[in-house]
Amino acid sequence: VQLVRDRILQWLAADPDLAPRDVLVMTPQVDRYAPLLNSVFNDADAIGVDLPWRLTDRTQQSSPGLSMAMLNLLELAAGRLTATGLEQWLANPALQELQGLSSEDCTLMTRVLQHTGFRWGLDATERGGDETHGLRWCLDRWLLGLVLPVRDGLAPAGAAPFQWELDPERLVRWWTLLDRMARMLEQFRRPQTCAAWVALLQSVLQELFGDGRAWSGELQTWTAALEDWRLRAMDCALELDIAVVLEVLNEALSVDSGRFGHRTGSLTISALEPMRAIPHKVIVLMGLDGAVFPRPNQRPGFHLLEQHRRLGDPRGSDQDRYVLLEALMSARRHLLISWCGRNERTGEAQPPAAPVEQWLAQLQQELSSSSTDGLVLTPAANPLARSNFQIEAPLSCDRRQLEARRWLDRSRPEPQQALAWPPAWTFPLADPRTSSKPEEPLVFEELLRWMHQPQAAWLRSKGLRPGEGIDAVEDLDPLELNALERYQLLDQNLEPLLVAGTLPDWPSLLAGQGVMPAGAGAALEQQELADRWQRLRRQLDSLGPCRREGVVIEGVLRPLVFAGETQVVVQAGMLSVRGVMRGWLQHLHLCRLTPTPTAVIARSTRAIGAEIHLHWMALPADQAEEQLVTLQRLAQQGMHQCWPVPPKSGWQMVWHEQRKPGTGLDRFRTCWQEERLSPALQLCFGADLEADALLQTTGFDAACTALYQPLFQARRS
Amino acid sequence: MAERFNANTYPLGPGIRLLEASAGTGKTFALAHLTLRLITEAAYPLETLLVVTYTEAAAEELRSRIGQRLQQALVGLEQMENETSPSAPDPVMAAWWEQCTASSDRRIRIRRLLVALEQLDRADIATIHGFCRRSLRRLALDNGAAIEPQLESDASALQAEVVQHLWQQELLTLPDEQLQGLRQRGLSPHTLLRPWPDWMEIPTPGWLAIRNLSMGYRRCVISFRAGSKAFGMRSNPIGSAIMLLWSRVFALQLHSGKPRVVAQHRLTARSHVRIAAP
Repeated sequence: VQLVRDRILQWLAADPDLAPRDVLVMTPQVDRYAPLLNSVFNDADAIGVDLPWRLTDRTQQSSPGLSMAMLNLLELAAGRLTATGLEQWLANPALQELQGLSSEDCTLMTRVLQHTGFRWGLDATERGGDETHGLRWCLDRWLLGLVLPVRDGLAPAGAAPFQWELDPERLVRWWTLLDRMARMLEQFRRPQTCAAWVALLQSVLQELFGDGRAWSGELQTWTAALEDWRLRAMDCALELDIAVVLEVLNEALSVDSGRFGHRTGSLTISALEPMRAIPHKVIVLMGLDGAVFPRPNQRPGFHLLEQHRRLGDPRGSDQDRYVLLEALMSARRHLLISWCGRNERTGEAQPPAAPVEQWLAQLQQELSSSSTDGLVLTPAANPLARSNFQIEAPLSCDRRQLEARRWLDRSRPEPQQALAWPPAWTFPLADPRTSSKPEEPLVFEELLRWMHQPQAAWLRSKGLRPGEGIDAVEDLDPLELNALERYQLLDQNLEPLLVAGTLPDWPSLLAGQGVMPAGAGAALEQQELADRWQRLRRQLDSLGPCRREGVVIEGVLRPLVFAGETQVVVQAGMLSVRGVMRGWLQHLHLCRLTPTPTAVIARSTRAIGAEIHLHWMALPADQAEEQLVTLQRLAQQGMHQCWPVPPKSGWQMVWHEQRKPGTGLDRFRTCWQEERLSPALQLCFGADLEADALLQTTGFDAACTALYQPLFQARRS
Repeated sequence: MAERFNANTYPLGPGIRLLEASAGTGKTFALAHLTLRLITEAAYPLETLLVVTYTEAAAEELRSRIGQRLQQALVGLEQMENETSPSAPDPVMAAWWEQCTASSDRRIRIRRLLVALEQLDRADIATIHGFCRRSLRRLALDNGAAIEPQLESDASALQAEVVQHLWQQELLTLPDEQLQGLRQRGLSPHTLLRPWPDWMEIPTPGWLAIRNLSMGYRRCVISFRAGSKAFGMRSNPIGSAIMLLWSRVFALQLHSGKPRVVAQHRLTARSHVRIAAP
């Protein structure tokens, strides 16, 4: 499309007699090109002129408006009501304006529906007997949320109340629209006679769109089409299914929509239509690919000509050949034919459509090779290729691309790859307590955050919070919990529940929330979670009787878990740097008050399922104090300089090296492959830094020793 | 002993013929020339020939090559009619022109070539799936099938939907211990989505194997039913030929472990027959 636009611009520039109204662009793929036309022909910044153009011959259904909203609604009724389908329907501008919703409203509505648990289906009938994750079920949850508190296990009739930080008025407005829509879908799904359908559709149009305002034209088309259908099929007693109605309306609305007006006064772009004596001086036939031109008409019909064809009988595809001939005869200045010469996915060469190819062969045969020179142009595939910008007859008129080409050709310094690469870590020299400029010490939480995410903490101190998030719209209900969900369920109130010895009954706690799978699936998940829970509990019991006790750390009362005389940190998942660092910090603080041993329990890949991974002996108070000061110094320095060791890979390296010497480096390399994808580390060290580059930085080993060595030295032998 | 292939004497009679050769040795060339001979010598209209290949790009190229071949032959014959000697693009064409000594013979061939060139853009030179789609549309009225079948190029969403339905309706409704047994044997929504042999090879107790097979069978039956209904296998000779082709495709897919089968999916609701693409 860009090449066609630029070629037309060149012609217009070269010939003062030529005006945009003299140009006609026809294409057999108007639906495919329509979205591109807007961005290419309206790009005044790139071409430097305002090129007036108009697109005719495109059915109104393809632009989002009242008509599309209505057809989408019918499609939702005819097929499966999915979350994406509903999102698409809600995104319709006509619906939004006439229902008084903003586009943020609709995005948020989809998000809230996803959180409520809507995936697909209207109610239990559509979903094969299970109403969970259906639209009606979600609406019930919203209503219950208005009057009942959200409490685990509270789920009247299988729907738990759902609350979101929204004002009730807004929620009620959404609820009303969705409820109305659900009611319409129910009505649409019942087969009815034509007369009943017309009455129903008219009432739906009235209810959803009123007078139609800016879309009153489309509303009128609908009313006319319905009236026409009613008159034709009034006496038909046949009860029609929604799919048939959809087909009937689709056809009624697309007939004759815009098959006129090839003289628009501006550059005209239209579908390929048979025409006699095309009045334009310049004719462009765009996109004559082999697969689409001549357009095959294989739709079966009852026409005799189709049943018993004789040589010479006209065919649908012949019309396209006539257009080609007509264009050739009518074009008085220029005729341009374009096709896609390479497959978009594989890059394989593609021949033009058969008539074009035959014609080219004919020309080459009739004319000498010197006169056919330059008949077929093959522009470079890359829009920034130098051949596009030659001084005489440039193929591209895009100033932005020319600028980009110049920019690429200019020599420029290598950009900085990452914020903290190469790392420049220097160990703090002075004790913060005796320093001339004492810094405010980090509080418990800040210190802990630095210990298990030092790079993210450094970025945060600079006001950067890198992260990636996506609010995906899911169409299928979860069939089982994923690893993260299992971890989160187990992790909730884990320590208090373990100490109290009460195994939670997750299916009844989460009833009506759509978290657990249905039927036997829920029982299976409960068993899996209970298994993990009991294994952790068994490890806890092996250390002695459990209790929870409040300990004042930095003036805040923190409940800690003790088993016998040992302080215990329990992790719901596998041993991670987060759990280790929390255990170590709590251990140091506790030992500063009363020297106590500490254990870290987490899941394990061994048969027992959980184990005591780390067991530190009680440290003398002064040693603990010293360690805390060192940590504090590192963390304070870490707020000014980026810590060179990635937390997860670094911990895995030292941990495995301790358990089986010689395996640490390999472990680091494997782990880094995954960890380097985290946004914080990408920002600090670059997008694809190799593990060995990190390992070889100066100060890497020293940093590992400073952070991890005390932790291993304090282990119980 | 295999005979040396000669494009001009290769028999055109009925039967199955196999041309086997390495890449770049001229299979497409031979195919184009044989098409030329089938049209001119055996008097088959181009519309009655079916030429299928694997990718869309290959189909387009094949159509272009056949078109060029017909055009070359036509130009040469016309020059011979005007009593100028044509310059042959290759020895095969030169030998073919030499056969047309009689002017009446040449005129018949020119007529057939002109008709064929006119039919070129609707000839059945297509991918296997493209041809099946065309046939579904052509025979839709005779068989009361969907008028506008749509080509499904990515069946993963459909597969996920089918797996979800199976899992919710058939597996989550089982007694707890049976589902647990299945899970321990490695059956999960994820494994169901994988190609068949993968989860068929799981060491299974007899009843699980039967269950697997019955699920696979049912999918196959659904697809077969859609196919046979659309093609009307008994009433129509082309239909039965297509059915043969389909059964090969199914067998191939079963062996290559790709369960991309034709599925008749919500036929009543959406009036679609979906075809899985390779």
